Amino acid sequence: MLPNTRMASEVFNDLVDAHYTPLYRFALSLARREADACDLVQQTFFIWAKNGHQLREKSKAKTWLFTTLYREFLRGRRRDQRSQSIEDLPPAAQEVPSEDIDHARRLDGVQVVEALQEVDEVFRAPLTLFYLQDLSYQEIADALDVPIGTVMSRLSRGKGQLRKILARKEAANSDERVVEFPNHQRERVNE
Amino acid sequence: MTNEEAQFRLQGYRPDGSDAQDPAFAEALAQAERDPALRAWFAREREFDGVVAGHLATVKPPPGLRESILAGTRMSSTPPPANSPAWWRQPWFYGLAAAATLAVLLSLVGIGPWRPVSEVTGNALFRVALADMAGAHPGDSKHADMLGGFGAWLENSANRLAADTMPITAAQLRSYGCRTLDLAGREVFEICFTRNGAWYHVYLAPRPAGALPRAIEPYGRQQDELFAMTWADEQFVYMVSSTTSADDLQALL
Repeated sequence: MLPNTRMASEVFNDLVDAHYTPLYRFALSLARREADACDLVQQTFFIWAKNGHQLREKSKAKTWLFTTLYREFLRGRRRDQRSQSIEDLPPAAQEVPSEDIDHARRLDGVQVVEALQEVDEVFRAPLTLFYLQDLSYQEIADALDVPIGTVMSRLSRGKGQLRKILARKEAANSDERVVEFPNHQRERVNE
Repeated sequence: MTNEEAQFRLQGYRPDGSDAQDPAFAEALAQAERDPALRAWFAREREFDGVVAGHLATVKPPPGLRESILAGTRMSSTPPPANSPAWWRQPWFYGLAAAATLAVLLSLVGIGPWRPVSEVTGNALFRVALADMAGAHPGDSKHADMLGGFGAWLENSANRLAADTMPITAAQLRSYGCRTLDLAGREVFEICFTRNGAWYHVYLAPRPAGALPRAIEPYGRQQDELFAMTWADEQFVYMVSSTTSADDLQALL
């Protein structure tokens, strides 16, 4: 292997190691199925291998990867008709009741991803990117190609939806009247 | 800036504090310091966001994804020999690379059709155990002392049900004639055994090839008088139940 090729390979490995996990989490929230999420991540890195060298500012690689994954997701499915009118929904509640925090605390990672997957798609992408904490609001705006104000608005509405979904899931868990033992993990096998 | 405007900005403030130096938040943060109501709202918002972000950070990619990415893109990024046509830039090559990558991934995860596999869940086993406790359990169910070596293993207090690997296969359980339940087309075996004078039921549901996650750490459930611990390895989803106590049950594992 040529030295420059080896160097490029190491750079690429580092890029994959740094970003494939958050990219997978983002993809899973969008695509809802593990296999489709893997395909999206895979495709994103293929495109990087093909075009990534054209990126002049390497510091923007992370945003580029999230942007590419999101575009691939949009390209791979027909737009949901609901997404056209979702922006007209009323704003989310401004207050965060303490019960909402408790609801979220009592769930686990799988259930939180499932809740994110139920959030309307137009809010889901910025909301998941926000919770991944890899991108700033500015970078989220760049990745999704929307104005900053739109990102903030979608975050607000998306959080409102997420709280309701988490509360519903937590209530469903309570209905089972099953008490967990302390210090043990929750159900993880597919229902 | 009104409190509403400050809230609008601050709900985009990442809970891990990554945005602390971002000047776009400075004014809103300063206002939250001054205004008790805004400060309380911001504290709750960050706590909620922190809990959700923390849960999301526990989600792991499936095994083999990283290796698949590296293998596939290594193929597609190999530089061509001098003067060769740019065949590797052609779309068909990327299709080939994608197919090869998928094959690598499938071999790594060891499954056929790469789709989530349905299987018997801990919830379903728990419902069976509840029904058994309520009287559904037949009187002629196999007891461990009728199962030879495996029965002796179950009743030996030195053996840990979850920490050790149970020396049994689905084929052997079938050959023993164990009580078998049909849960939506999936078989579940049930065996009764005793340890230190207490009765326990163990349920074993064979896992289909490719079921994920490959292993599940033990976790507990309780309803009314029934206690149960569930866990899984690549071979079975297991549940052991009793009406003794959670501590007794955990001591078996």
